[in-house]
Amino acid sequence: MRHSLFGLLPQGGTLPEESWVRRHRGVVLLLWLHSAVIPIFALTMGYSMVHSLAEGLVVPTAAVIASRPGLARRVRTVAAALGLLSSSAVLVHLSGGLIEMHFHFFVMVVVVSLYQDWLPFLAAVGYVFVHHGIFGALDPRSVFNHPAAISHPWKWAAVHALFITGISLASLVNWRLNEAHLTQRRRAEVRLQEESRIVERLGEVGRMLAADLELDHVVQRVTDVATELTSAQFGAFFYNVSDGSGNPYLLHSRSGVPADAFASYLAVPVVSRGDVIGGLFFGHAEVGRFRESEERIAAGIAAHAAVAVHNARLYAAERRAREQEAQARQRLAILAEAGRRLLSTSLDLDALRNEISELVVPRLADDCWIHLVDNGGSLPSGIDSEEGDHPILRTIRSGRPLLLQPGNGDLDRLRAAIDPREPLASAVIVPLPGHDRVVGAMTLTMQRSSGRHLHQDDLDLAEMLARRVAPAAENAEVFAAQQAAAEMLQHSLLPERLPIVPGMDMTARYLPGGAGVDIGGDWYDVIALPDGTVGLAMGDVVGKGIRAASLMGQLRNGLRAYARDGRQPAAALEQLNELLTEVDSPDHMATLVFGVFDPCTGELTLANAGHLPPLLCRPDGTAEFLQCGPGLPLGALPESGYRNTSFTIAPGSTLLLYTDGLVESRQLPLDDGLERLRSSMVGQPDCSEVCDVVLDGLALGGTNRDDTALLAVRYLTLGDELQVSLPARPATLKPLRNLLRRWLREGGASEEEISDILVAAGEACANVVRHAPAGDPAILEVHGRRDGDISITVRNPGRWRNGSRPGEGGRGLAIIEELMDEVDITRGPPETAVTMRYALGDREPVRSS
Amino acid sequence: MRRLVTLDRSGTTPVARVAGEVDLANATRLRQELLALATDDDDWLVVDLTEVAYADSSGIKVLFDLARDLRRRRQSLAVTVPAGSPLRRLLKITNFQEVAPICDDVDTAVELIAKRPVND
Repeated sequence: MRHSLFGLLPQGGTLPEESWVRRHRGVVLLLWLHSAVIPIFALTMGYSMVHSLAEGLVVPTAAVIASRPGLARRVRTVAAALGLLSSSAVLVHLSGGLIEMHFHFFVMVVVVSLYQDWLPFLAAVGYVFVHHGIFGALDPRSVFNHPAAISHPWKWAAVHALFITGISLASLVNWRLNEAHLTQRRRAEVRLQEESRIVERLGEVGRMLAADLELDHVVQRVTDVATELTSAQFGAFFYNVSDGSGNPYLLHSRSGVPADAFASYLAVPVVSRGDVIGGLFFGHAEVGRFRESEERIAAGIAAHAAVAVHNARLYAAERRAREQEAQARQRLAILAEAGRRLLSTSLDLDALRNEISELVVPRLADDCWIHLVDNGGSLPSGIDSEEGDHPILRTIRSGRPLLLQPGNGDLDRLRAAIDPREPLASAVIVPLPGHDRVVGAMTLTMQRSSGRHLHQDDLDLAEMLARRVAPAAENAEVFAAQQAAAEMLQHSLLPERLPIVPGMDMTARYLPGGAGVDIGGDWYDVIALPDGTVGLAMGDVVGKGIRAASLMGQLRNGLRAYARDGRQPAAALEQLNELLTEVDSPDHMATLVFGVFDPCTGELTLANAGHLPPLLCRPDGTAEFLQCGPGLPLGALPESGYRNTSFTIAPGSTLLLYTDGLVESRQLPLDDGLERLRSSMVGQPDCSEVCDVVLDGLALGGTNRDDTALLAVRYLTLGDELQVSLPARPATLKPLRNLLRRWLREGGASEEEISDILVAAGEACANVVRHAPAGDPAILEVHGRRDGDISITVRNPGRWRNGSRPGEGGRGLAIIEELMDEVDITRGPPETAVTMRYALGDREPVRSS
Repeated sequence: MRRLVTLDRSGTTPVARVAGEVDLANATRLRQELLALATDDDDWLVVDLTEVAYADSSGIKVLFDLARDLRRRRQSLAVTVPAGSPLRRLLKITNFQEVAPICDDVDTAVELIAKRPVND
């Protein structure tokens, strides 16, 4: 009750400073006006000048005090109020209590109420009452001018005071109303200011949010700003997010102090296009902290947040779509590139692995492995066969792909098999589906250090890739096996070692083609023929691989048979041509040059079926390509004719047979190659060196060369000293006789002498051969010297049989002794030697029986 | 491989012509080829060595063995070698004439056979 009663009263002192100053200035002016009027009024009423000035002095005094700026506002107000009331009192007194002059009091009270303050107002009211009472009692006529009042001054003072009270009340009401109006306006102003501040802030928030398209930023900013603007101690933004796979989940972003024990809560929904996409929640420890204004702020922010979140989501979706598109494009590119590269890649397995690695790393994974199961189904290399449950094996056996995510125990097993150094974060293993079985597995891995991961879509891509890789891998595997078989076949077809022909030095070389070049059909052969001549063959089968090798085998065997049968080279080629054209296969074609060389006479009979001409280098340094009659390659036409061409080879000459790999390097035209070959041949001491020099020149010529075969044959010069060391085998005897025959003939022996010496020496040699230990590479040594006479020593590591024993051995010794002039037999150990001497030219020309 | 021996049956007596060189490497084969030539119906076999360019004791042994084998079959051997040839000397050195007649040529051999009784 008391509260409500006091509540009705004006508060006072609420006048704004500038209003007070303005009003106070008017009041002080009024005081100065009274200070001037009062003495004039006193003079007109007949008072003396001194009295007039003295009685009016109180008013200017009050005006001076009220005007002093250093004094407190309240003191100045009270001084002004008392001055105004004093001027009323003085005027009443000067007018002799004229009742009308009392109206001046009312005017002044109203003026004082302008201050809208309790102290001057109460002071004014009290002043009237006290003044009327005291002065009415002391000098009634100075206050009242009617008899009733004069006789009862206190009573009339009370009456006056009552009126004053009345006017005071009226003023109070006025004051109160004024004050209420003022407060209301001020509140309205404050609220307006606050609202404009909020609107401004919301605008800022809106601009800020509109500029941010990152959802996480938006959410955090919304939470921070809303918490600040609502003056909450805690703020959170809960919102629904859809991840890529469509699973909704809840995220929240907090701002401010922890959310326990709050007394006030505020929550507003965040609504975007009619859907509640989240909510803003605020808390404060004080009760009733959140009011409508906070709610409006929060709602405003929520509206902005809805737009911003919507935009951020659109942006994220757009970005995701762009990323997916880019990813899809990259994947398509990888697949297209895979098709292109794997198609054009060579059939080499290692090259294939490299291609795949380059394709996949680093675009798809940090590393890539290919494990292949060979045709027999054995385990891929690098995987422990005791590891029964290896993930790669599992994939190969089941044909199902595996995606190994972090934490999967298989990752460790996988790592042990591929690269134990790097810990793996994730891996994808896909089977390589071959023609009718799983040929292996492709493994893609991400290392933990790279921070990347493999997912389901990577597995899908890997599977698509595997479908392209598998046929290539399968082909490469089959090809590798074929190539190995062809290589083995070819090697088995080339002579393991050349026959030893005394008086001749021969070296052959075969160089497989450069890396990635299939094995070719180059081949050569050296055949020691039964008549002591030597067949020399160099050929090139058209085509590659197993077919070429098998054709080469046919040619080789055919040639050997025909040559041993005594066919001349041209006839042998004709037979081979028949052999090839009989086989109804148009691509069976081969070039071949074949010569039969007689080491006894130095005669070379040559026929050529489309092959490069042999090169003859003479001891005088000149060189010549041995051109034969023209001949088509074998297999080109049925019934091709070939011609024998004979050459006489001087001792000390070197004959070179070769294939086009030697002269047809990619950089050099054929003619240049031949010329280079010719110049490189001069002055090489032996055939092995000839081959080295020629092949060195080839290595300089280029890298990606064809396969190359080379056969160098030197027809040795024989001196007066002859030293031969040969395997002690029956097949050695005839070439050895040929050599001796040639040596004897060059030494000037007659045919009869040659016959005798050959028989004797032949007996000695045959005896060595006959008694050579079986299975032992025994050596037969023949040393000859011709110095007018002929001296021949035949040595062997075993024991010489003497004539005491029957059989042809004994007969042989008899023959030697009969034929030769002198025979010495030295019996070992370590060796047994028979030395026989023959004096040339001292015999009868014909010995008859 | 070329045959070492060719058989001529144009006359009453088969003539085996040997050509080339005979040594340890082909002696065994020569003996087999020669033995195969003489059928049971023949009383004589003439081995013509005119074209033999070389023969060592292995070749001589072939002739000795052949003579012995034929004798077991009650057949006779004659060889023809030109007079003065190296092989003729060898045959003489090894006393081959003690196991079979050595003639200068095939005609002489045929004549000789005609004069001699079979399996004397």
